Amino acid sequence: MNSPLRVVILGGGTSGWMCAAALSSALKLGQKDSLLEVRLVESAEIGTVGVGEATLPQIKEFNDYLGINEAEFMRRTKATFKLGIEFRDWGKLGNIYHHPFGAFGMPMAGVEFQHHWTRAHAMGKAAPLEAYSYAIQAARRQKFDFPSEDRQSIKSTYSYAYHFDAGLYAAFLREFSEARGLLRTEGRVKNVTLHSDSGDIRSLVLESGEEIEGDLFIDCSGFRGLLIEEQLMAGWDDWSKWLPCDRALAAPTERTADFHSYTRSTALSAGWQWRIPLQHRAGNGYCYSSAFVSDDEAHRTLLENLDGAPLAEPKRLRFQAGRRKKSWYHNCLTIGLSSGFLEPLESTSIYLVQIAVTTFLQLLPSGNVIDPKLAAEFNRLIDREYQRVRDFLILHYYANTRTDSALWEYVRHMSVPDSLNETIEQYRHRGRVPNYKDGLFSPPSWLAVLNGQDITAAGYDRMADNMDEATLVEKLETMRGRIEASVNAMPDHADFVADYCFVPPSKAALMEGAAK
Amino acid sequence: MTGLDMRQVRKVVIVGRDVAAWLSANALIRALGGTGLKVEVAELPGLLRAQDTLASLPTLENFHRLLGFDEAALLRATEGAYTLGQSFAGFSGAAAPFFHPYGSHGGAINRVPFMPFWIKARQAGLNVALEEFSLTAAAAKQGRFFLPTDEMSAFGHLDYACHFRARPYVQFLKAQAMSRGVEVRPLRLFDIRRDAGNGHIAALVSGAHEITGDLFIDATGAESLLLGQGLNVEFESWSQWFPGNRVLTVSGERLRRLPAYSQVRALPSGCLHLTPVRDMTGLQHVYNEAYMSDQAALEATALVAGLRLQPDAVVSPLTAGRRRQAWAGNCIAVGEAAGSLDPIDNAGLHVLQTGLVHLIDLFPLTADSRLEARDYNVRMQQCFERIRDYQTAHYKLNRIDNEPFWDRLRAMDIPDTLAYKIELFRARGMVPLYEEEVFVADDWLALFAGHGLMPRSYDPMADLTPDEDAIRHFQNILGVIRQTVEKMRTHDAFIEREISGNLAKTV
Repeated sequence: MNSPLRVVILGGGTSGWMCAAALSSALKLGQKDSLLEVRLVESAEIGTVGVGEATLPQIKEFNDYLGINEAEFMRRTKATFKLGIEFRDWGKLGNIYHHPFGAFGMPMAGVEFQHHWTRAHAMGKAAPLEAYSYAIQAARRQKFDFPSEDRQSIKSTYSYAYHFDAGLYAAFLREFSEARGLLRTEGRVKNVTLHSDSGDIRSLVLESGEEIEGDLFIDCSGFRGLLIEEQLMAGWDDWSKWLPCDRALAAPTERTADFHSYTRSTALSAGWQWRIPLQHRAGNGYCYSSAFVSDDEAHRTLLENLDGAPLAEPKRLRFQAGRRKKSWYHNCLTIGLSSGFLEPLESTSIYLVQIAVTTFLQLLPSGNVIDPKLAAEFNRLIDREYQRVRDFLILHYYANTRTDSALWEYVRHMSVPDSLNETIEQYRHRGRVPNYKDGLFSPPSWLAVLNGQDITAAGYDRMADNMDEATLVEKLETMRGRIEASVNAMPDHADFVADYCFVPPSKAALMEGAAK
Repeated sequence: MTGLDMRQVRKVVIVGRDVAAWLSANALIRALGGTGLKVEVAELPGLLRAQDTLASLPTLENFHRLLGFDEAALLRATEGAYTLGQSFAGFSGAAAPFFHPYGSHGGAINRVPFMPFWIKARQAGLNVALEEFSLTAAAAKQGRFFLPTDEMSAFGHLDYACHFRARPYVQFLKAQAMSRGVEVRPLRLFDIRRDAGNGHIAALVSGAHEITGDLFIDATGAESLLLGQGLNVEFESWSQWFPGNRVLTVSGERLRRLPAYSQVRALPSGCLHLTPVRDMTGLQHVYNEAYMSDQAALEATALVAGLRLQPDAVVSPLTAGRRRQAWAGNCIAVGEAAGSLDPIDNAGLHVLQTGLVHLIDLFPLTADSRLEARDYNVRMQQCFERIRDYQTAHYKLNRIDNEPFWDRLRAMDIPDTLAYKIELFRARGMVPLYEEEVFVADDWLALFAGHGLMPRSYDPMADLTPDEDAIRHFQNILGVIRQTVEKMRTHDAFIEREISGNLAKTV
């Protein structure tokens, strides 16, 4: 066997620690037959972004892969449950719709549900589409329970994710990784040395003078891409013409009675505002385009819109939507914001970290000589992921009829990627939604946003007409009734969290609260 | 879009013959008959001969089920037999034949897939072929057959397909379609009348008769009378990758013990395909006339097959390739009218089935079907090209030295999509899969490993399992496969009991 591959992870935010945890879990670090020597270099002085507090259901697979106990993880990260995202004022003012983590109805007679629904709706005999989504009905009532494993049950038609404190998640994964032999080095990078022949990275030189050599470097240094861009100049694809938001202000508020089992996104005149309930506070932020609003005005808007007392001065973030041209270039692989930035509108940041980590694990180099084919395949797979998410996000902006501000006028008239145009045309024409083999998002997600933003299907799959009208109406009503009855019997989200994983406030915090 | 024609499609006319026409008729009437759609077959004289056989890929059985066919009844009617995969012989001078099973190899060890363990063991000198770890291959090679059951889930994915005589299959399909209300009208020579406005096919004109319809399915075979000749959709030849331009078909005697697999044997300038059914063996020799005369092809067939042949040999031309669009205007070509495949890998019926599945999925809502056509053409192009890549690999990866026919193929340029798959397999023992793949990862691994490609490296996660544990696991798999196969009935006994015997007939 070759000598172990020396991997250096630069950066200890969510990306760095998710990567470290996966490598620690899979690879018996520190044992004599280990495949890798992994070191993570981070500086406590450098802040992490930590806005990625809302996740997608795939995060559960990641935690399960690590073997993490869910209740413990939720206690440690002050997490709550998430059944989807509520979109307010997207598409048009006054509009409210949900993107659920789950299906709309169930297929009938071999035909996807939305075709039956479109047919019944045209006859005036269907409730709104969301009445047939278990996840939306539960979310609307601020309920939560685990899905059923019985595939026949209507209660198996949804999944869930979490809201959590990303800083606490990184700390939790750090503890997990260090317990499994991961070496962490505190320090700032002063200098990077390259191999003169190949141009590959040879070592990181820290301010302390320590030099850390490696065979493979994982750049988790955030937006700036300290290795991939500042050293290797891999290049950047700018997507801001489609996704013009380039700033965010993030501010936590006290927990209030509004304890929803979903993420809330409210479209504003120059961007959108999020609200993410955690056990101990709510995360809020305004993601906006500096071309359409000043920083001061954005700051004012956010503070005016908060529904609870802010616990800190808003944190300012700057970014540009886009993507590193090569995610893995030379002997440097990027994970997280160094690889690309897509605004957190669909909670994809942590998913994109996860998919990069798991793809890397499948392409882990064998020994310390790295086959360039591995990088090619990594880039092919990761490129597709980013493009899929990109199209999906653009749809949220493009499909609008808002005339109240310049941003919405701009995005309604912009020219969008062909792939997205085709998706919209197919849906308008016959209710078809994309159904591809790899990558986010699945058909119900597309359906939720297309339908939710008032793009209507003029037609439906002809096979739906095989069912006679009376049967169709009866089946829809039965389905709606079953969902309603089952949802009504679910516990409230707040009660469920309290029972399952609530962290009682510490005595000190109670005293502090009393002193106010 | 301008000039949207909002008329609903009320009548589909299927023009053509044989399997393409009648499988289309069944699919359309079954999927859409309940919506008031009228399906009419304008039937051209059949071209199938008594000696023609067909081989399916595993998904056809499921399609048959959706069409409401009883599998046992179909196999009874067509002298049908089962197949668990394909055996490929002679593609590498001295090497033993290899088997492409319709199922997976080995099982994961400590959450790591089997393949890297096998590569590691081969690199360390293990001399056990990948196929030895497949229950499907082991059963087939020992003359057994089984239908997968839930208890076998530890063996991974398991599947099977069928062989049958072509003519009785068409009779079966025709009877089924007509019993469901498909109308048939015989047709010989005809002209196409096109709509002066949109260029769509308005009617088929035959003497004083006209056959009108909203949608026309071209099931006329490689001639592509509607799409190709009528609407001038160009043919893209793949002859640079597929060397055979002649197919000799002849029937041989029944094999004494009926194999549950088909065979492909590489000959000096072509391939011989053996498709066993219950009462005979279908033989197809694919060759190139520049290297071999028809007479020599027949002699080679007799010699290599080692079977008594019937005096029914016929030769037909073959050009592998596809029409650049499968759907143009109101005409959709299915089966060979959309593209002709080399017989290797038995994908012909599959591409017909895929064309029909996508047609039903995208069945036009109105007479204006431009959006459906665009989507359909993308999908069918991908489907054809993924099959093409899989088939091309057999020729590209041959190791038959000093035969000009094979030497040229080894040196040929191949499509980038295939080249990338081969490179990644060589680098790592993994296969990237694209959208619309017909053959899944297990199939590609069997193909590449079977042709002797050996990856340079493997997923190092396999190194985390101590070698002794992996060896024990290997021995365990081989032992369980041996025991499981021993308990299986022979293919002959299985057929006797389930299909052809007196007991089966009464069920």
